[in-house]
Amino acid sequence: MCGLVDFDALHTSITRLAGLSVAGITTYAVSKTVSICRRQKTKAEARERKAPAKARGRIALAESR
Amino acid sequence: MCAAVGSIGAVLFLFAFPGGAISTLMHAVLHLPGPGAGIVLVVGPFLVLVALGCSLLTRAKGGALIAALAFGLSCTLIVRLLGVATNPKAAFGSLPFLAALGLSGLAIEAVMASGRPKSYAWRCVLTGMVANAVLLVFYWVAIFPRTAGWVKWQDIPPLAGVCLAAGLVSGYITGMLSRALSRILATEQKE
Repeated sequence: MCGLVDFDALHTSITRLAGLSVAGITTYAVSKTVSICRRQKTKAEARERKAPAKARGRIALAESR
Repeated sequence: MCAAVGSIGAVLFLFAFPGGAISTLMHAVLHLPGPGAGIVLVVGPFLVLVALGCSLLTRAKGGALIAALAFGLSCTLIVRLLGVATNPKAAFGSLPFLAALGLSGLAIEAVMASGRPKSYAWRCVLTGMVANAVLLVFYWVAIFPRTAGWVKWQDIPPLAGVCLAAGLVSGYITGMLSRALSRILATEQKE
């Protein structure tokens, strides 16, 4: 055997590592969700901006005929 | 940036591994020979994650060395000022400990600066292995003889094998994590 043996310290270490892992996974999941929401919002806004322009184009085409 | 990452790494390390936890895991649970098993399986890979990860993310010259030294200095400050209990065998917070981390950081810098191997993944793997090996050899030669005694000849081959394997895995994981993180950061900046 080499070095001191402290099973309480090992138990504390495992608990803390599990806590840190949960915190890390939660942070990643939240940041990913925010990123996806932001991307979808940007896409929807871009679609809304494009839609009136298309409609105006169609009206102009119909009027010219 | 690199100094901040190193300091945060030190706080996380001392929080996650209180004194005696690593030694108990290595020798009482995994029944690995010592001294050095905790260094090659926990301290070395953690240092590779912090220092190599910092170097890959910031792409700054000397980033790994700064992160490794900041890790060592923060450990020293926390242990000395807050009186956090650590294993005396590993000499956390001493001058040789700082030297060990500095040498390991220098090894990471040297391999990354050499630009070989060309492949990103292989370079990360080689860096992890070299950094872990440098840390282990320094501990065997300069620290353990004073705190735990010389390593036995018959324990050197298994510990060296574990050291290279742990360095390989930690280098690869750090490389892949850094690549994924830099992609995420690039996407965020574009948005």
